[in-house]
Amino acid sequence: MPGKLYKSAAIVGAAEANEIGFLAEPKTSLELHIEAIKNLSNQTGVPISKIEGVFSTGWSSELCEHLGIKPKYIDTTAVGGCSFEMHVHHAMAAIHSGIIDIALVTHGENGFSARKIGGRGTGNYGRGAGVASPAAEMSMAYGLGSAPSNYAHAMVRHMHRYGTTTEDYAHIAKVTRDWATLNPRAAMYSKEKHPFGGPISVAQVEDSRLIAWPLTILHCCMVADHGGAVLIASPKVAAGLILSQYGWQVRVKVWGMRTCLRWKTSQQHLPLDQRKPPTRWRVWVRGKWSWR
Amino acid sequence: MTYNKPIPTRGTHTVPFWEGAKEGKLMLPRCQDCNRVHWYPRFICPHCHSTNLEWVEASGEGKIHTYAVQHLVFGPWEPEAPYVTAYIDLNEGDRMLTVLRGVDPQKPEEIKIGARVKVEFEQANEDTYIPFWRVIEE
Repeated sequence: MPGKLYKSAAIVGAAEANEIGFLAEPKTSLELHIEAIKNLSNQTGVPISKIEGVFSTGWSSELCEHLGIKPKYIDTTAVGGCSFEMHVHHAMAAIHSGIIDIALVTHGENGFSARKIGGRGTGNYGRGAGVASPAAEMSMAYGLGSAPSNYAHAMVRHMHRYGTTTEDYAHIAKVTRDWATLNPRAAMYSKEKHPFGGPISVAQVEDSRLIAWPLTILHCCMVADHGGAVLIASPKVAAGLILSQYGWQVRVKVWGMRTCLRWKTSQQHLPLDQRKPPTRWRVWVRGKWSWR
Repeated sequence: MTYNKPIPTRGTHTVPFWEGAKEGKLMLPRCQDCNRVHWYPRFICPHCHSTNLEWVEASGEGKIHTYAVQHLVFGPWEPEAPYVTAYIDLNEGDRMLTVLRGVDPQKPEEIKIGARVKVEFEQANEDTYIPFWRVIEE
């Protein structure tokens, strides 16, 4: 396997569904996926037909069928909210091993819309408990279900063991909301956008309605509608993509992830048509990196 | 009053647990190779991966590992809210989820991690007795 793992792949695009948050017109999870994937394809210039690997929780096979993709690599890892970070890791490993060059990581969940039209992509706990799962057999009697109802136990234990306080946890909610106030697309961007939107204080978090003591409703992440997709590519493809936007021929054979990201971040505040290609290139010549 | 909470269906390998519960005994799976008990019951010892498992009668005592108070609940437990759920460190080892009795859900700060608890069983139907744990007054 050539090269180091951290240089083996680059994130070349990231896009969201057309609308996110609390949608007035309900959408399905699949629709949110497809919007994000379509936007990603437009953003990167990579046709959907060129996607070789599909990474998503449980949805991958249905997505491939829906998009008419015959994937060389498929991954349905579902371990909760962090699944998609893991998908990025798995995509990197698949690219590093040389199986694929272009990977799609995609997410769509109509948590809010599902209240109107159903179809949330999560299972129900405890049906046919014992035979299906001894873990469910021994826990279903006690009425837990939502993530907060479980996580509250871990929080209390953490407070006991490390001396953290509910106020410490409230800070997490507060700064997360602060981020939302920087993003006009966020559901809680402002009071104008949503009656409960805009900045919140630590005291507000602590005083809001209890969900599972010590977690209040403002500690918990919202159940909203969202779709997001990320495209990950081998260095060869990544270099080609960025240069091809300017009609340049590909002259960098291997492009490390850091170089690519550094260039992207320095110009990412500009609209696409105003971005300039870098004036210096980092190239791999005769076994070492040099600037051209 | 008839029991109106969710009633587990038996697994293929958990019969001794439910039969013990009928007699008020807490049965735990123990590994004959490493001697450790585990919870919930598995087909293989999660500590040493031996499949030489047996069922032993436990003391039915333990300590509170952590707890939470459930305020927003859906389904059959909804009328009980708020109520206290807890993980119990069993005296024999490993940990069990339960609904904790003998505590005030309105005063969660007064519940002590490490407090001693004892198991009790409530009849749910003819065959099923569900374990709950109660804080022992010191």
